[in-house]
Amino acid sequence: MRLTKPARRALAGGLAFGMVATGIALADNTRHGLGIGLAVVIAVALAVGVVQFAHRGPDRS
Amino acid sequence: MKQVMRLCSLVLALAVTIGLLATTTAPAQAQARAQAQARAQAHDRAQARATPTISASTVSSDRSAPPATRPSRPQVQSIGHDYCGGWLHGPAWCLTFNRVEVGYVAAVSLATAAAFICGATALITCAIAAGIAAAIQRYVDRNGVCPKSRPKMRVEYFPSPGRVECV
Repeated sequence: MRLTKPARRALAGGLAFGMVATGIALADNTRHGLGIGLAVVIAVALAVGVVQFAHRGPDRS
Repeated sequence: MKQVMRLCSLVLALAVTIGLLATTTAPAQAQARAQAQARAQAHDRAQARATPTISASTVSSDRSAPPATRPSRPQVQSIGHDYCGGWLHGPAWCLTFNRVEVGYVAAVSLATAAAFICGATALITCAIAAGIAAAIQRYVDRNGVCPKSRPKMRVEYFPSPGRVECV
């Protein structure tokens, strides 16, 4: 399945935030940083899924 | 379409938060503690069974000693919400987060918001939104949502409308 353009943007933005937030948290506290990284990945996956299906348009089959 | 996306983001944030709560709060710890206690009791029982029979004189001399195993059921704490109401406030259901769990809730919420903003806008707005979200996340990591004197966050979700307070 090919991601739509908004979904790609959402993925990029979410991952950018996730990497920065995880890096900052890892610099402070290792276990906390891993938890934040996992939480961000799950949240971004769900958000990208919603954006992908919201922008897919009506089914013309 | 924007309204649909806003509604979806709200529902999604709620679902992710509830899922996170179910996995990170006390039930797992309480279950592990109960299992460890039950295992220790079983081990004690097996040891008592394995010890050889001793003479009557030894038994009479050791009569003052307490029994080695005492039959007791493991203490299992209730799973899920706390009951946080008072006599004036009435019955209420709450969820309590420590500082680390508040950080996870903040990360999920900010990542969802950043992803939706980036999906709906262009590059510069997306970068600004992600930067602001990262700054908020850094502040929550360092300082927490609640003050140090009352570090835990308690969310009362029943009766409606609920409230959030630091305890």
